[in-house]
Order: sequence, then structure tokens, then C-alpha cells
Amino acid sequence: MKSPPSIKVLVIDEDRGRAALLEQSLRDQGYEVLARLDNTDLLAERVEELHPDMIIIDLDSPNRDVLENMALLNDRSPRPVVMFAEQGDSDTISQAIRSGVSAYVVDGLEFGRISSILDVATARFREFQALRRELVEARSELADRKLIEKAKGLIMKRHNCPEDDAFKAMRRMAMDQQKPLAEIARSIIAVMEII
Amino acid sequence: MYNLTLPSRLPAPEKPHLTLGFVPLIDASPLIVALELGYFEACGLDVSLSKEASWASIRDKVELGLLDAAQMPAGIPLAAALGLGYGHNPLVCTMGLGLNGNAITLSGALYEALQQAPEFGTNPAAAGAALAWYLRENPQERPTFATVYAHSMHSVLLRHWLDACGIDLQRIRQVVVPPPQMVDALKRGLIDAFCAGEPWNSVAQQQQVGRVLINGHQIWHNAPDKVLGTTAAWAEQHPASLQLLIMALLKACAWLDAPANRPRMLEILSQPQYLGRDLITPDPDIGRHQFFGSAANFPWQSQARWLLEQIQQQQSSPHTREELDTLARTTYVSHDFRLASAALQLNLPLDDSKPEGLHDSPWEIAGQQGPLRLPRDRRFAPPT
Repeated sequence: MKSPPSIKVLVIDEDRGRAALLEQSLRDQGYEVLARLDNTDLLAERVEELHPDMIIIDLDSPNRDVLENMALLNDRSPRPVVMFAEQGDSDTISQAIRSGVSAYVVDGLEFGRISSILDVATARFREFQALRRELVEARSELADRKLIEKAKGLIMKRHNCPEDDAFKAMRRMAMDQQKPLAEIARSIIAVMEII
Repeated sequence: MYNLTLPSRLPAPEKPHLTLGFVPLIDASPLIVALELGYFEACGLDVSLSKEASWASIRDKVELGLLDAAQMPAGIPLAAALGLGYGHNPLVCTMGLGLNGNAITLSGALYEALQQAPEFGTNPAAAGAALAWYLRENPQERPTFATVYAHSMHSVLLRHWLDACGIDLQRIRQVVVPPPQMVDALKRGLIDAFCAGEPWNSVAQQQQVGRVLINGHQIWHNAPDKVLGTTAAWAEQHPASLQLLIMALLKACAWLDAPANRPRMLEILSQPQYLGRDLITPDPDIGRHQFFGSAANFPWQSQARWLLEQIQQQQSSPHTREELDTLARTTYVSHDFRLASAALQLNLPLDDSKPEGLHDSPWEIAGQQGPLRLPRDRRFAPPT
């Protein structure tokens, strides 16, 4: 069986890391990625020049209104597809939207092929969000640990007590006040630095 | 007048927790003020506001139920009803959020070129004549005019003005640029002019990047602009929530129209989750926002009908007059607005339509509690 001609995809995403991940996945699936744009100056000109069959764009990109206008003024411009619910598989579409993916396609692209690209994009957007969340959590955990160390050091110095006692005192305060240890550490630092 | 009293008994909302979408512009003020002054809360609603980056995103999220309702350009529910490439979850306009707010700003270079015209002036007729002269003198030029959305009032007013001045729309390159990029695009010469809502015209003038040629209110005095949109299905399933929402927003609109409240309004808008500090010194004479009154808040059928005709000009297969009448009726719905206004003891028009664009001074129509005074509403027309 002859494989259908490759779909030419344009990826517009201000998040370069996510766009790179998406481009790789699309290439792995056999799609042709024309370009990844993050600096979207002159977007209208770039789209006219590249003639993509499909554009994948972050749902929350301000440039979506640029594409909507192009679709209206130019018959050959890709049209919004995220709201293509009449074509049956609206699950794919609502999943894509919940992940932050929006898509524009030229007329005549089969729905099956659109939905498989949307699936790839949805999976990558989700994966990237999870990664970013983990990174934020890891960062805040590190910051918390530093705060606790600093507060402990201040208590040890002021009360001339061993590390273990300082930590126990803080933990008791946290339990009594029902607050996270990092918050207790922050108030201890604030108070001790004044006095 | 400015302090609307809520009825002592309010209906229980079907859904008390609502998420409303807005785009950071001066005309998002009713939503922001209703939240900050506790009007939603007073109406038994727990509202979160979601800042959105594009009108396309607002429309899709409302259609998909990710937002319950949102601020949107008056044309969005109508364009969707005309089937302009959108989904199948019809949108409705349930109230207007204000009048005016736009202007046409030119790059310094284009402004100076137009000033050379024999009949230059900063009114629609003279400015249009100057632009027509410039295009005649420079047959190779095709200046780029940006708006912020295909079906917003900016695009409608810009096209109406160019058309009324006899300017061939093909001589202008029309593009959309996201508002936060507008002033920069003008500065770098990527565009020659834009029609956008405040504060962007004020920002362009303050940064000396562009000059206001004409204000939106000169093209259409007291033109509708943003509306509260939701889906027809949502409105039908949550009538009490919707009416409470309208009551809270009417209270906010009345508050916003008191000139004494303007400093407080700007202070609220300057918070980073709304417009931020850089954007809150708009020139009130450019915007001339009117937030409150029947003209500003009633979802007028007659405006829906006129807008449908404007939007339809961009479509290849026109609808019949009867079809447009039906679309106007099903898209601009006054039922919940009437109930909410009645609960606030506000006078309401007898009819859902009024003559549009004909009055040079304040005028009156029949209201349920006596005559209803409306502001002038002259729409620019070519000199005959």
C-alpha cells in the first residue's frame, strides 16, 4: 500500500522546549515539519510563504487571532479545526483543547489524519506540562530546605544548642501552629534578623 | 442613579462558581470592578476571572464550557451564528458591556504624509479624503492597517469608514496583530496604522510612536463594543446564575459611569493580574467609554442586525434578509437582561430594536416606566 503524502505541519509555540519536543515526535511519526516559530513577527507573511497543510499552535497564543483573520481573508489559508466537532471524534478535540493545543488546517485534510497529529501534540503538551510542574516543585523543595537550614543555624547560634535540638524545636512549632516547616523557618528568620 | 440597589430576595444560582474570561483592556472594567467591589459576591456568585490572550481563545473556551461566559467583541456571537468556520455550540449576547473605546492611530510617517493633503482634518470625512488623496498620489503604496480581530468593532468601524470615504478596500492591506504587539509593530514599521481599543492608542501617543487620526466615536457616536457572551445552552440551563451575573455587572457599569470613581477604577485596573501599571493612563477623550444605560447595556436587535450585514460582506454566500432577522433574534437575547434590570428597578425599552445611527443629539424612545433617554448615536455616512 502506498503511504499517503506527508502532511506539512507548522508549529507555532513561544515555548521553545515544548516546540522542539513536538517537532521531534511529529517527525518520528513521518510528518514533515516546515518550521517551528516562536518569534511570531510577520506571522501572516511566514504562513503565506510556507503553505502548511496544518498549523499546531498553543491555545493561549495571542497569535491565534492573526490566523483567524487570515482564514477569513484568504481561501487558501488554513482554517481553525479545534471546533470541528461535527466530524465525529470530538473527544480528540476536547482533549487537545484541555491540553492547550489548537489547530488550523487547509480544507480537504482527512479527519483521521488531523486527529492523529492532534493526539501527538496533545501527548507532548501534557508531558511538557508535567515536566515543568516537576521542575517547579523540585525548585521550591530546594528553596524550602535552604530556609530550614538557615533558621536552624540561627537558633543554634542564639541559644547555643546542638543541631538536633534546634530542629526539634522548629518541628514542634510547626506541629503546634499546624503550618509547614518552611513557613515556620521563614518567620524565625524574619524575627531573628530584626532582633 | 449610580447606586443600584439589589432586591432583598435573590434567586438561588443553579451554578454559583463561575469562571469568566476577559482580555486586558479598559473595556474589561465591568467584570474586574464587579469582582473587586464584591458585586458578584453580593449576588451570591463566586466568580474567578481568567485572563485570555486572544479572542479566538475566549470564543473556543466558552463554546467548550471551559469558561462559563466572557467579555467578547459584539461581532463574535454573530460571526459564529453566520457559520464563519466555528463550532456548533451557538453563542448568545446577553448584555452590552459598554460603548465606544476605539481609535485609529497612524505611524508618524503616514500621519505626516496625510497632512500634506489639501483637505486634511481629524474628522472622518477630511481624514478619509486625505487618505484617498494619499492613495491616488502613491499608486504603488498599499498601507498596512492592523486591527485586533476579524469580527471586532475595530474591523467593522475601520471598514465602514474606508467604505464611506470611497476607498477601495483592496488598496489597504488588512492584518491582525495581537494588541500587546501593536505599538511595537507600528514603531518597527511592520504596520502603518491600527484601529484598536484603549489603552493602545493612548500608549502609542504617549510613547510618540503614532498619532490618533480619528476616534471610533467619530465614526459612530456611542457605538456598541464589547458584550457578555455565553452559549445558548448555558444561558438556558442557568437562568438564575445568568440574571445574577447581569445584575452584578449592571451595578459595576453604573459605578464605572460616575466620573468620581475613575481614579479608583484606574487603581483597580493597574493591578498586575489585570492591565498592570504601564497601561493605565489612557486619555479619556480617546476612549470616551460609556459603561451604563440602556444604550450601553441592552442587547439591541437592531445592532445585531446591522453587524450581521457588516460581517456578512466578507462571506461569499449571503444569507437572506429573513435568515439574518432570525439569526439576530436568536443571538442577541434580551429575556434575562429584562428580568435582571426589572429586579434592579431599571426602566426598559418596550421594543428590542431602535433606529440606529441617526441622531446628532440625545433622543427618547418609549420605555416601560415612561420615556427612555438615549445618547446621540450618529454614524458617519458619506456626504451626499
